[in-house]
Amino acid sequence: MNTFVPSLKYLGALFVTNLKATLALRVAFWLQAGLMVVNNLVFFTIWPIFFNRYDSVNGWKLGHMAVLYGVSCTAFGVWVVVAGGVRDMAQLISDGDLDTYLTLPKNPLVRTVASRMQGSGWGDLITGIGLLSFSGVIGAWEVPLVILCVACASLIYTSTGIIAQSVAFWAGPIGSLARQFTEFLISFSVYPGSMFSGVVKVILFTIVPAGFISHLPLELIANKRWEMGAALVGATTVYCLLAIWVFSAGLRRYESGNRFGVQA
Amino acid sequence: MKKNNDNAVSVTNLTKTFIVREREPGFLGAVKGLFSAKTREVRALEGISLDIKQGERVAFVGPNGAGKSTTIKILTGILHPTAGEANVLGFVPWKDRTKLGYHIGTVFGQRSQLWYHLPAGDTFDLLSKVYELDPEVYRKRRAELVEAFDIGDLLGRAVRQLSLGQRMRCELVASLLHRPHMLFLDEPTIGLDVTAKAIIRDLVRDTSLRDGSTVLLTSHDTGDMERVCDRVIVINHGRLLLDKPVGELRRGYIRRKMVTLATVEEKIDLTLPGVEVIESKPYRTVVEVDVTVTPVEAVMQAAMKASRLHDITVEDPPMEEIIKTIYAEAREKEPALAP
Repeated sequence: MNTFVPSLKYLGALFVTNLKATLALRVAFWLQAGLMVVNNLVFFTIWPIFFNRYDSVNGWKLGHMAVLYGVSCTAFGVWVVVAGGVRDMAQLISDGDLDTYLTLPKNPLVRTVASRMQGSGWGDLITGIGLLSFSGVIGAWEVPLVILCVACASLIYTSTGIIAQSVAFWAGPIGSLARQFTEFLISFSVYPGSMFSGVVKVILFTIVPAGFISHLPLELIANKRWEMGAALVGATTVYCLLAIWVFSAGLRRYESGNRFGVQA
Repeated sequence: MKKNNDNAVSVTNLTKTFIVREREPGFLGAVKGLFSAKTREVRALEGISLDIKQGERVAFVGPNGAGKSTTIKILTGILHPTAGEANVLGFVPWKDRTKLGYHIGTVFGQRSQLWYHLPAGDTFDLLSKVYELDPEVYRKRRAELVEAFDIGDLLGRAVRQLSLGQRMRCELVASLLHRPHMLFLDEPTIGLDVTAKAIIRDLVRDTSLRDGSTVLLTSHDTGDMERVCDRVIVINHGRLLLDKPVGELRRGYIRRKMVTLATVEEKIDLTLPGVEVIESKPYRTVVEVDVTVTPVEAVMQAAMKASRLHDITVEDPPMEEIIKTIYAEAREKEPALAP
């Protein structure tokens, strides 16, 4: 209790400060959020056209695709709104910009991931929630399950992002490679899980865990089987622990730097 | 863990080695570098030992690459040392970084902890949550610092709209909100103009005297050392060259003095060993005296014999000259230490 309340207040203050910083750049915020909604909808448009011609793909229908896109988009939005700093971690590490976070009496990983909010994330959130609401598959009873799935998917996005970006502790400025990895993850998470089998399926539930971001959540929402929920929560825990371990191991190799910089 | 003595900082044989990649120059070197992983060890700190008493203000002076920033980064828990021991306010920095964080304040002149697009007040509010300050205590401390640092007018403006000097005053307030027992300042006056430097120096000294906080300051600027600190530690190539009170440093290393003579006659002829005329204008002559060869008193007597004097001024050389002398001596003793 002694540390829980101050920690909550700190996290709340960090989120509010981030939000203020994002909203301070009003035009950039509207442009990023608005264009992201357009971008997501353009990508999704292919599926109404497709299902207008074909009834289903291995049992998957338009509503399922909307849930798939909805979970992935919302989770991605939550990630970059709450923990948008992950996307710049490799740069921060290689430029030695973790210094100011390391002298604070708070966990440097939390401070680093929450060091930035990306305005485009609000566009992802709007699109994702919209698609989930209009999918026709989600009823009132499924809402808690959807929240669980989005939370887990968001944590997996964050964890895998931390792992990929933390490679910078060993390999230097690999920010673009780490971002490429995230793009890869997004791409696989917005296609029906039934399309993949064999080795690819194994990869999608391990190295590129798109399976845990949208495929398994969709199965869980449709079938409501507790073992699927347990698998999702278990996998999320493993990825989170792995991210913390990789970052902590990397931090021991951190070499700081002398570049001029400011807190954006 | 806690040390029962008056030292705010105790460092023993602190060593830090970095592994850096070696690349050959030119385009071909860059291509070769893609296929080879040649590395070399750079010893940033070579077993330095020092103690700093609580309430002391210490300047850590040295040229680029001397090891100043590396030492500060180890003492604040940012870097892990390769070997050696350090204790800051009773904590081992790299092991107890989070606990230590509540008791220290840091300002890195090359980095900012202020949010660039927001007014500094927003960062102060966030820091009050970081340091878990009681709202009433925070309100009073912030008001006290805002007044002392004269930043009331700046609090409504985004940090990006502040000048470097104004920003640095806000940085210092941010680092002092939680009443740290120790302040680490890494090049706090870098890039500032003369006026802004003077303001920052006075503020740091006054705050340390008022709060009783210990200060460890790194700088290239000897003015920071003279105006803020009582003691100076000179470091080069990761080794301590000198550790003395600032006043003693002046006395011990001043071998030359500048003597300005305002004469009734147009010219004065002063030919003495160790005395060199620097400037000769009608009725005004400036000479540099090597006091190890001829004492200043002898120069003054000779001047009074040679001419009638309106005025005479004796000045120490600037602190930069003293530091240069220290480096030169180190170079003579051990050529590898040359800055």
